[in-house]
Amino acid sequence: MNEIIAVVTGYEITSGVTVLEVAIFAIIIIASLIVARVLTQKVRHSLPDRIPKNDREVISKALYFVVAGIGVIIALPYINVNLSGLFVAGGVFAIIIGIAGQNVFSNFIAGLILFVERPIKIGDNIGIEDVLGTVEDIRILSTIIKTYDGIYTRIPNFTIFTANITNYVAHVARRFEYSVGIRYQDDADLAMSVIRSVVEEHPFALKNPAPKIYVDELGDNAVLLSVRIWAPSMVWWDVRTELLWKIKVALEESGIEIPFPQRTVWFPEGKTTIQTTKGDGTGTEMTRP
Amino acid sequence: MFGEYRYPFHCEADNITVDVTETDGLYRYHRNCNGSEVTSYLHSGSGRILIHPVEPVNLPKYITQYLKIATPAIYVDPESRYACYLTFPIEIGVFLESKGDVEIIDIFSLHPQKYSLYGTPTDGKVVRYHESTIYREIPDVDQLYEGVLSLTIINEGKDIVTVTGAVFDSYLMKIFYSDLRASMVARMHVLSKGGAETEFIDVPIVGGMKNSRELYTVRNIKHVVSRVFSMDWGLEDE
Repeated sequence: MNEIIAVVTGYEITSGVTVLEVAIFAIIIIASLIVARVLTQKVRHSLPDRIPKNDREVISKALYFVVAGIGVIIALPYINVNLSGLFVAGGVFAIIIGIAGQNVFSNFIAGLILFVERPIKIGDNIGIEDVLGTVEDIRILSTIIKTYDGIYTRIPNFTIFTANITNYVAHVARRFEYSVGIRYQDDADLAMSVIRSVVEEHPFALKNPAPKIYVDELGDNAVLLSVRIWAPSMVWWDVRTELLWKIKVALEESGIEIPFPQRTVWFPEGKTTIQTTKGDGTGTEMTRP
Repeated sequence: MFGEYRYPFHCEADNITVDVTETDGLYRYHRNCNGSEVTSYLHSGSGRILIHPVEPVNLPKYITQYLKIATPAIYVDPESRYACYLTFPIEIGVFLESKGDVEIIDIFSLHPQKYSLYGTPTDGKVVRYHESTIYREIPDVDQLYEGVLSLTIINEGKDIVTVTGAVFDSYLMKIFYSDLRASMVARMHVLSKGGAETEFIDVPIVGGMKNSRELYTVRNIKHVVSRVFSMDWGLEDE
């Protein structure tokens, strides 16, 4: 029996390739395909949902072909296929691919780093260089931004990796500021009280950190009040747009006006004097006969 | 007002009216709360309307799951318990129950809303903010405006701790209601001068109260993994 097996397995199908070697070749190929399939399924299920489905498929398929390719390389010598020629050809091919695909590779690596570092997430409001908008998708090679006017913008991941990123919603709360001018004759304390009431009434103007309202500058035409408000990052823009008009209306209802730039012209008897008075009382005087 | 209704029906209290009317087989839901009105239409007449107090973190829109109840300073002795009653804001949820499914169709409130930040802007929590007096007995409250929270502060440490508020996770809330009031029962386990854990107990403050529907179960939010909320940013306001 053993002799029969030895004869069968030792039978040369072609010159120097026995049945046993062909069987080993086939077993390695089949095993590598099974391992590739199992690994692919594992990786596909373990990749986080934030990676788009297309990218998950690309990664899974790349892994499948890499594992299957390794299996083929291990198996080929059993059927007397000389790999040295393949390696030479593969080396030349790799150089060509490397030169042609260095941008792709750098974007790919940058994409992986972005996945790990996570400076931005899908849905974040961000600014990258001169592009402002909402992150729509983070892919393996590029990131998709929808600008605030609805324009589709694709930015290579390497650009994002090397650029200054401003993430407007990375923190749970953020501050914004108004500068409100009132006339010099208006009561600044009353104005600040009115503004504070309006701010405190707004649900999303945070109680803590407390809003800060103070006289910031004695300007040319107005006393400038600074109003600093913290709001949840998710709704800060809504708060900012809603409050400003409410502040203006409330100030006017209290008899406090937001002044325009003004100039007083004064004509004394016998000569013409043009006196320019600024809101803070300072000014210039020009006299003509 | 809290309860369960077969429609058509009409109920009215304070500045709130809720009704479902029928015209030619079409059911119209209408609510008016302090002049704020909502109208929608119900497909069939086989369901029920449930009006329950719900977790008070939904208005004017849902941005956080946390509620902070700020109190005057409470100094709690070492190795002691301090039991008190606080108030919490009421939000009223209207649910449609039909053929075994429940869907929230409206949320409104008489209580004004205010939000705050617990912790730092970097990694703190945005919280619904409510100020409460401390009561030793169950306070009389306007049922549609405020509910009653029974809070037991447990200080097992060796230090006197100062508490000026408690932060709760709405996913853990267990709200009960009766004809008189809505209620919750909670505990705060003080871990140190700078931290505590809060949790809710699934019991009403008095017998005979009914369970409210929990919004997070109606909305199929299943990632509630912790039974406590960790107050990692301290027990006092900054």
